[in-house]
Amino acid sequence: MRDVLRLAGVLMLISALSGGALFVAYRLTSPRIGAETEARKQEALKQVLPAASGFIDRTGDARRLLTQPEFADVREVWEGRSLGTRVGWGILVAPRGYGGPVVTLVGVEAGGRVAGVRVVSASHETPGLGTRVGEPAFLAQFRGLKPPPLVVVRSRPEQRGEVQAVTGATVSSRAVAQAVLVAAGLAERLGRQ
Amino acid sequence: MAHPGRDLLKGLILENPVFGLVLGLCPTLAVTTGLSEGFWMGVAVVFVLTLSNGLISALRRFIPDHVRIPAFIVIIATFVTVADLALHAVLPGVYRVLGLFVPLIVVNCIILGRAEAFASKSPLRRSLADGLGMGLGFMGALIAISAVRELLGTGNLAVGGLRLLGEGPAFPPALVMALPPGAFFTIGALLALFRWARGAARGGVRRRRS
Repeated sequence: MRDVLRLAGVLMLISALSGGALFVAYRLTSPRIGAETEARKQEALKQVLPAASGFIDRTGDARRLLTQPEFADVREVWEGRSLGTRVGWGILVAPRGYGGPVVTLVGVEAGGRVAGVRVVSASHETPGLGTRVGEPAFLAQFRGLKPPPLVVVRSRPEQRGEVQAVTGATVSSRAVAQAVLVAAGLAERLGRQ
Repeated sequence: MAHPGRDLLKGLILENPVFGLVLGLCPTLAVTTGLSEGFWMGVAVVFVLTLSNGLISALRRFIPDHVRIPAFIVIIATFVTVADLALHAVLPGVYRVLGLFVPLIVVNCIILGRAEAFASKSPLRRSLADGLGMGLGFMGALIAISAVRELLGTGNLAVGGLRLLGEGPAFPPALVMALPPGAFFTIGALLALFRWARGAARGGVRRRRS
């Protein structure tokens, strides 16, 4: 009996000390982690829509539109503003890729032109292949397009609205293109309101 | 072998965790697609392995035999979580690349392996040396594997953002090397090379003695 109490006591003590250490570590790091996450969001939005000086979260306002099936993959809607006027939208879309959602941030100008695209997370894609859809060379192809149309091709693009897939990662590339298409459609609908 | 210096050195080469003991292969396969991934994963493992070995050694008379494994796991998990939080706060860019594989250090067998085989029955200084040596040996193996895979898989090698072979691939890359089979090919080849070199070194010593 005494032995059981000793075993449990030691384990309890070690776990309690571990909990205490983790509390301290969490308290020390959480302000920086929180600030870093927030700053990264604003910075990422600014990268896909450089014309805007600030962003307002409009996800709640767009709730009714987002219930429609074509916008089911949309996660966040941000309105980009500059000098008191709307200059475009930053829209976070997560279509299904090869292994899971490819979380993509798309900047769409008020006129419907794609200003920039950024892959926020492609962690379920094949490392070294599908994850390369985050590279600038692939994403730069979307800039200036006005979808639809938007088609992913394997060879060099020949027509307007075509982008070349990352070699060996056609499915992941299509997910990004799908995100851009959805975002452009949503921006168009939001602009009409 | 009662010398901390020896404990440190054995992990680097003779009992290298990956090529000598063939332990902890899960991250060795998963996060060696590129040189920087391999390097930072190695840093996280050195941190966890050294500190968990030290603390377990310091508490070895206090922890009853019957509950030693759960006690070790709690201690290891604590250091891993601290490493995870610290990496996220200090080096967010690296944290994003490694992702899930930092928390997975908890179940890396090399860490629990050293706790059970060494730290739980050795004095503090020797256990710290053992943890550091094993950690550095592991890191060296990750760097070697990821360098080979990045070079053959992308046709180039980047060190700190600097591409060593000029812009773009220097030769047509073999995509398979960036994929999981490439990890097995590389580990197999390096393991064979390591064993051969070790055997040759031992044979050489024996011949010189006779």
